Formats: sequence, C-alpha cells, structure tokens
Amino acid sequence: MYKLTVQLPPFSPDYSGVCSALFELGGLLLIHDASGCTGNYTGYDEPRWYGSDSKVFCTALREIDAVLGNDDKLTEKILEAMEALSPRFVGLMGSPVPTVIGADLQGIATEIESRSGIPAFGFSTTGLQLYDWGISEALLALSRRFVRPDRAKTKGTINLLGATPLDFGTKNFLPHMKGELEARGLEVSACFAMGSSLDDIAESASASVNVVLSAGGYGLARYLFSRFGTPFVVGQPLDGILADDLCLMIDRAERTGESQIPGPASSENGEVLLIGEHVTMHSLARRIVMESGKTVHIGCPFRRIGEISGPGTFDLPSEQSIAESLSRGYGSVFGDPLYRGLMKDGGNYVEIPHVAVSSKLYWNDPSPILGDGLSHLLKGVVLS
Amino acid sequence: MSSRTCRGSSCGVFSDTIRYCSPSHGGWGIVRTAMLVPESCQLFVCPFACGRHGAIGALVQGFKDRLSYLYIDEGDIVSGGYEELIPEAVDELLSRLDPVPRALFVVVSCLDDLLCTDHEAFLRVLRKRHPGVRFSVAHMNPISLDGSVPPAVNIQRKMYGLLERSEMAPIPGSAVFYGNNVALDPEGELFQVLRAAGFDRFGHVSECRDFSAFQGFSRALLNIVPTPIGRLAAEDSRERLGVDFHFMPISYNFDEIEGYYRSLLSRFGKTMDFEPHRTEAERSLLMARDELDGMPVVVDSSATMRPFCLARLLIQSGFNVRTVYAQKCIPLDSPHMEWIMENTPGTEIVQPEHFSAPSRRRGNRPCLAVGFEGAYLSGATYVINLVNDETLYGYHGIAKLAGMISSALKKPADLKALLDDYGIVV
Repeated sequence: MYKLTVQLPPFSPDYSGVCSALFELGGLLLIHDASGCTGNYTGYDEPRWYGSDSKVFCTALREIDAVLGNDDKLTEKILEAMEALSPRFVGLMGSPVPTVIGADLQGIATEIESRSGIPAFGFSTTGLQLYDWGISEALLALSRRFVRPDRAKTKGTINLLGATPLDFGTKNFLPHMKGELEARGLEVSACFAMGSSLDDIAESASASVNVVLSAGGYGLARYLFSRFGTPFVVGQPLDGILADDLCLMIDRAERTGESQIPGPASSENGEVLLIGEHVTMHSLARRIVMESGKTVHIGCPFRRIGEISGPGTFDLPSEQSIAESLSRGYGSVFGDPLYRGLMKDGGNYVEIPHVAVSSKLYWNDPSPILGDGLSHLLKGVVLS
Repeated sequence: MSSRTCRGSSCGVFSDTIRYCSPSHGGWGIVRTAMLVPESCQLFVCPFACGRHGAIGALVQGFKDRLSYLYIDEGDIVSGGYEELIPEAVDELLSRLDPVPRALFVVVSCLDDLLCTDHEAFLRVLRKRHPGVRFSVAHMNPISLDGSVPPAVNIQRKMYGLLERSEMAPIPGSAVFYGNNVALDPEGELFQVLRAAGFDRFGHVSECRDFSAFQGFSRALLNIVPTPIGRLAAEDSRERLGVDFHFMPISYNFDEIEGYYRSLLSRFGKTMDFEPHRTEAERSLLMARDELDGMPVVVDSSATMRPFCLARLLIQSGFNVRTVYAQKCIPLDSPHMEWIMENTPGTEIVQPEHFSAPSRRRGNRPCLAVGFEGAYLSGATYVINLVNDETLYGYHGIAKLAGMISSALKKPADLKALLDDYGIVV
C-alpha cells in the first residue's frame, strides 16, 4: 500500500521549504497553523533556528477560528506584530487546516500589504506537498517582487539558485561549492537564499549566468531567463572536476546567451543507485560515470527536472517504491542514511545525509561528497 | 509587551498574539506519551506534514519501530473517504509488525476535527478483523489547545481508556498513578502517606513490563492523580472501571501540600505529622538560597505546570525571582499569580510565545533558570534540567528541587546539549 509508511519519517513539507528559502531575508514568516506545523519547521527543518533572531511565527489557529473563519482577527494580530518588528516583507503560509477551510491567504496578504504598505505574500502551501515545491514558490515570489530589472549584466558574475539547508545543511556543502566557483574567477552576485541579503537579491539581475543548485531553484532559473534573458546552467561543483566542467558551461552560457543543461547522467541499466535531490544526484552521477564508467540509476523522492532526466531516472513517491528500488541488487547505493533501513540485503551503501529526510539526526555532519573526499569515496566504494 | 504591563485579555496579563516557538519550546508530545503503554503501536492517519516532528522525535528516542503513517492527500480529503483506507492499512501494518502489538492507536490530527470522521465505523471493522488487538482513536490536534479537552489531557484518557473492567476483585493495597508521565520519586513522603493510608502496591504506566501488567491497573483500589492532565482519565476510569481516584495535584505551597495529604488520609481515617518533612524542605530551600547569594532566578512553565506557585515559594523563601515565563495561567495557579502581582513588583510575567519574546532574549548572564524555555529566553548561565515537574512531589519534591539548584550552580549549562538530550517535541 503506497500510502503506508512504516519505517521512514515524513519528509520536509512545503511550508518548511518556503520558510527555509526566506529565513535570512528579514521577513515576517507566519505559518497559519495551531503549533505543530511551525514546530515541524523550527524544530526539525531549520538548523539555523537555535540562537536566531529570524522572525518566524505561528498564527496559533484554533478550532473556533477555523469554524468561524476569523480572518480579520488574524490580520489584526499580524499588523500588531509588524508594528513592533518592522519586517522587510511578510510571508503567510498555509497548512492542512487552512487548506480544508479554504483560507484565502493571498487575500489576507493583500489586505496586510494595503494597510501597512509592506510587501506581503500568501503562499498556498498545504502540508500535502514536499519542501522543494515551497522553495520554488518562495524564490519565484521573491524575485517577481524584489529583483530590479534595470541592471546591466556584469561578465563573470553568477547567482546561485535553490540553496537552502534542507538540501545543503549549514556545514561545508555550500561554502565548498562557492569556493570552487570563486577559485575559478567567478563572482557570486546573490545566493538564493543563503548568505545573501534581500538587497543582494534585488541586484541579482546583474549576474550574467544563473547556476541551478537544486530542483527547487529550477523554476526561478526559467523565470529569470524569460524575464531578464539570463541563461542558466544546472549542476553542482562538488569537486574540482565537476567545477571545471560547470565553469565551461557557465562560460558557454555567458557567451551564447543560451542555457546549458547537461544531458542525462543515468542510463537504462544501472550498477549504482543514487537516491535524493535531483541536481545533487545528477551531479554525483556524472562524476561517477567520469570516474568509473559505471552505469547509474537516479531515484527521485522529490521534484524531478525533466530536462536532465533520462532512461534510468525515475520517481520514488513512496516508501514502498524506495524499498522496491533498493531490492534490485545494485552494487552500490548512495542516499540518506534512513533509506538504508529499507535494504533487505547488505551491499555498499554510502550515507549522504539529506536534511529534508533525516532532519536533525545528521545535520551537524559535514557532507562526504565534496572535494578530494568525493574522489576517495568513489575509489573506495564504486571502484572496489 | 508580554510583561505584566500588557493588557490583552480578560485577566489583564496575557495577550493573544501570533506565537513564537523557541528552540526550547515543547515537551513529551502525544507520540511519546502514548508510547508509555507497553506493547502498543501507533498508526498516524494524517497529511504527511503532521507527522514529521513525532517521527524524528521517535527516531531520536528509539521507538520509531512502533510508529507508522498512513498519508492522506487532497483527493482523500475532498472525497471524505480516507477512513476507508484505514482497515487495509492496518491489515498490512499488522502483517509487517513483529511482534504484533497488543494495542494500536489510530492517531488523527487537527484536520480530523473538521472532517467529522466516523471513527466507530472503522473501529468496528478493525476489531472484527483483529480480535487480539485493542484499538483506540487518539488525537494529536493542537487546534484544540484552548478547548476543554486539550491534547495532553485527551491522550491520557485514550491511554487509560484501553483498560478493560475486570471481573476479578480489586487488588488490596494497590494504588495507580494517572497523568504523570514519569514516576514520582519513591523517596518522597507521599509514599509514606499512602502507606499510612493502607497502600503498599504502587503502579505507574512506565513501570509496566507488558500490556497485561498495564491491564492490571483496572484492579487498582484507588487511582492517584498528581497532575491536572490526568484528572479526566481518572474520572473516566471511575465511571467505566469503578476505580475511584484522589486528585492531589503537584504543589509548591506548604499549606496546599499538607491539605492534599490530610484529605487523602482522612478518606481512611488516618493522620500523620508532616512537620519533619516540611522542616527539611525549608532547610534545603534556605541552603540553596544562600548558595545563590542573590543571583536572579527565572521560572518557566516548561519546568512545572505550577510556575506561579513555585515562584511564590521561592520569593517567600528569599530568592530573587526576576521573571516567570508562562503563556497562560491554569486556574489552580491563579491565586499564586495574583499574589505575585500584588506583592512583588520586581517580578515580571513574560509570555514565552509572545512575538516580542525573541527580541527580548538576552545574552549569557549570571542567572539560574528553572526550566529550558526560561533558560533560552533569559540567557541564564545555570539551568535546572526539569520538565513537567518530573519525579517531584510534595515536601520531598521541594527539597529535591533545592538540591537541583545547588547542583546546577556547580557549572554553566550547555543548554543546547540539554535540549538534545531531553528530546523535546512541540
């Protein structure tokens, strides 16, 4: 029964994706729920929460409000807090109960904006969709509203799209990738959305190329291409070899104005299975093919990008489907440590913690698939 | 503002604002509490998002193998037919669990409060198909937090609702505790009081080796309820099982403690001298006060469900209580809150979930926090690792708390590590 999940925890939901993408930008973020959904995000999907002064709050929805649809009361509570907290913007997110009662979050946001003069967004998150949908929606809303169009492009500058702790944690992953690109002479204009301010993002149309780091950033890349003509590339510079490769694509995109999307890295027959975020696994697959010539399958429990999918790239929408894929006798498997429990037989398993899956269980661990560590890992596991 | 100067509600102290959820906010949660029932498992039937915190908490605490999910999606909600999925899911789940649980909680979330699901309909099917398993519907529905039966109270009813009336006679001298998730310290004078009243066999759910031992609670002579959240469950058991109860909620007020003890003893025509216990508690408190040497103290409602009662005791014993962190005040605690407001203008009352709480948060400072939430918000250097009054009761509880103060002062606390160790869940 595909809806039954016995071993895995529920993955990170859409409202966590929105909050994660907007966390560092000075907005007032509100999850319209009773308390549990906010607790999901702050306690289990946000490694930056402890000690943070980011403005993430819960609307404290109660039965009587749900039944009566007390939107005016909610609006007043939000305006009262805004008066004291002076946010740069407001993001209001839905959860399962507002979904059922048909709460008009965009309407409430419009009311707030018209009364306060501060930009406000209503996100139709439901708690029934995954985090990457939320990241995508948040980054799109942010860009539509704040990115200034009248900026000349600067050669050699890039934006990084789709960076949140849900995919990259807060340890070495993102700093390493930025370092690889900067070491090759590129300048990061804005990172959507870790380590950059709202002002950086407002100026981001000056970048000559956008780099899609995760599936959550793909929709934004397409939007920025259609809006500003900024071409994009898809991939992660996990190590020097992939960074060189990515820089070639960036250079080509900059020169031609055309986006450079690498072809599929998976193939019909797979000796190695990778399970996880699509761009991460696609980049890793390319590196495995380069290093070993082995064939790879990519399983996607989350959003899949059609353009980089090929034979051997498939959706994994349930615990049952993940368990079935793990039973196919691959020589090596890469994925979050929690998937490992679904393997019936032993075999090489490389643990790559993914916060959107295993939350705080491993979020203090550095990623093992970066730099020289990746090469050693591949030699030790895939080639052994 | 969230201090006593605010005027947002009928009592003039607490405001209804958007809520802050600090990293130190939370407690046991529904999942962990219901896991106290031995040989039980839980199947959550809910949107997947509702289950994330409970599942990760269960992984941390080591009982994820007893916790499963049936995810419902928009189609199920729109069609209103998700309860039809439950029997099939339970069939498959029970075929995969080894050993098969003796009891299964089907847990629904906030959404269910609005969908008017017919629980009895699917429970009938489940009971027919799996006669060896006790089924119950439980609720993880914080949307009802302000209602008459909030989730923490309701889960106690559901747990003890699994008990079946016994045809056998009550077990002589047996008393069972309801509502406290952690057993009370057996060194406490409460047990002397109970012995004086004729009891010599004590039961707590956490100490049951299996489900059969838990079922033995239906033969108790008396249920003891040392916390308000167990009271409704005890009332249910009085009606269903015929087991009476004695409500004697945790208190940090000497007169209240004595009153509860005298009330219990009078049921059995007994009396006791409490003076030695009271004297020892007072002596311990004064020692702790002297060790603090005027250091500020903050008390919060994550540590105790009677934060105002405890704060008053400390103030009256000469402690420098600066802040009481409480989102609201339960009726039992109201007289103590009023006393503090009237008598100690230097003690502020702060709502930890008020939107201003994070901006009022202070850096590290010499201060003793009784509880995690106050520790986080006040920046206290020293922290007493206490949640929900665990193990404390009576004069002994007060003396033990005083000892915890002395221990806490020995070295600065690593609050983040304490929170991780405890595994709080919202």
